[in-house]
Amino acid sequence: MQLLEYKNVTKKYGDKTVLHDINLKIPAGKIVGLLGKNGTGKSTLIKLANDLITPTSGSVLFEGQTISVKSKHDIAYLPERTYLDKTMTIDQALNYFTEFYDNFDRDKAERLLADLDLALDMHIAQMSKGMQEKLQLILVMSRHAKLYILDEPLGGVDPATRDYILDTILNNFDTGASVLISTHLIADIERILDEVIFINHGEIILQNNADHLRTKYHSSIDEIFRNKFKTTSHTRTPIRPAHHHNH
Amino acid sequence: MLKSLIKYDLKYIYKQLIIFYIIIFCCAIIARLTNFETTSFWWKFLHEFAQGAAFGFSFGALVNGSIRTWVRFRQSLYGDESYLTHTLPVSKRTLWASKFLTSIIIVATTLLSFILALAIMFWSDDFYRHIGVTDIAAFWKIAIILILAIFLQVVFILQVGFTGILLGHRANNRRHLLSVLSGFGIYLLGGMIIIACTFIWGHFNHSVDLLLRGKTNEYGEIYFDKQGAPHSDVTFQADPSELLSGISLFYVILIGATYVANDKLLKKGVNVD
Repeated sequence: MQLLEYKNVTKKYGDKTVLHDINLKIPAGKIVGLLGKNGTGKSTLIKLANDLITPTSGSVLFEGQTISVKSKHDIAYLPERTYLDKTMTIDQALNYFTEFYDNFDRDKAERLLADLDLALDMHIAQMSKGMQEKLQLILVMSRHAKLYILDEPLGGVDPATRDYILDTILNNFDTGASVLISTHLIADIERILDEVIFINHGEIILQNNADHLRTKYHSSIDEIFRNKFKTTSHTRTPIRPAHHHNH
Repeated sequence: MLKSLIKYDLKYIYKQLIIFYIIIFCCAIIARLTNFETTSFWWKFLHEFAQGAAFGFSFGALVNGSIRTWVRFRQSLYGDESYLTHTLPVSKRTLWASKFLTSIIIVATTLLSFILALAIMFWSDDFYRHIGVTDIAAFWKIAIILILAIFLQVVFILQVGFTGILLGHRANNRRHLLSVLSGFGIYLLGGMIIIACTFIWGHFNHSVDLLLRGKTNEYGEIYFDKQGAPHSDVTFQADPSELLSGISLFYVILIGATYVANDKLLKKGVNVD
């Protein structure tokens, strides 16, 4: 059984189709990159898995069941925006997560916060954007979840913070759990990816093992992505593997 | 989970509301302390000012509390905080129940603060004589039912505001405008239903009919004979508390209907910004 599955999912806003007949499976125990340009449907796909929007048709299943209270217990979600009450202090945010998530490891969160020299009595509103992102990441990664969904975790932060975020992700998700990361900053993230999914214009273009793709095309995921999306502004062109010439 | 949800909602709303409550009580105490016979303009001015401020801030607390309840509802279900709210491991039913109960608590505490302020300002040993009440039991009966009717009306206003927000946010565009229009429209519809039900009830209840047609004095006593001429003897005692009780019952039914409707709307799913 796949951990997360999209079955014939379409999402429309009025006349605009944002996702078109998506069929997608996220396995357990993998770090999966959901890669696409801005506005291609990545966040919409992620919001569907988190019950933030409803599909126009099709279904989203977690461990074979529709998204429910149980799946929310097992999915840890980091959105691309600050979702905490900014009038809270860090300590109050920790209390909030402790109250609502019985799989939240407060000791782990406090250790990670101590590494950043963040005082627990600091108000979230007083923190920089980068610090708020780190706080949210720590809160999410301190949960013992089966699936971590991170929506654009690297957007809007400096390179040093990006490295911190990637290391925090790698070092803190539970064994056997999966991580689904959406991003358009592929070069920064590809070193940690097991699988990649390319999405364009609301359709899945490709889903494959990252190492397999690198071997097949003798390119980084970033280069494959650039080539792929450079040539397919309005129509899809299949990726052609590199030819070997014997000299 | 329900308790935790209510706790955080109340914390948000009371952060501002507590200031109103403090001012209300301070003004009530000042009004009480300055309530003595004096020829000094400033003492009289302070007394009247404090009394007016207590009333004004009580009304302000009700308005502010209502608006903050709606704002909190909208923010937590459709704003940035919705990304946390909807991913909490709680059912939509529990989520909705927490919002409903929060609104009840806010209205109850705000009305209670007003009643306490009134007691501080006006209560004394000759209170009943001062306001011209001879039948104390009847006075308290009407007072309690009037407070209940006001409480239920404010709760209903809050509920239709929630309904408006839920309906308005089902659209893709102009959500705020549609929320306001929906909520106001439902409020008007609810008001018309209340009025219609009351007049229908009046067809079957003589007391209610006479009260509605203004044929009584403020104590429900009829001073007109059948030809409509003034009569010196009391011929019929209408009971205003009966009318208020009926209206309260209609509000309870409407609040129940909006509760069920809002529960179903939320269960259909949301489309956050």
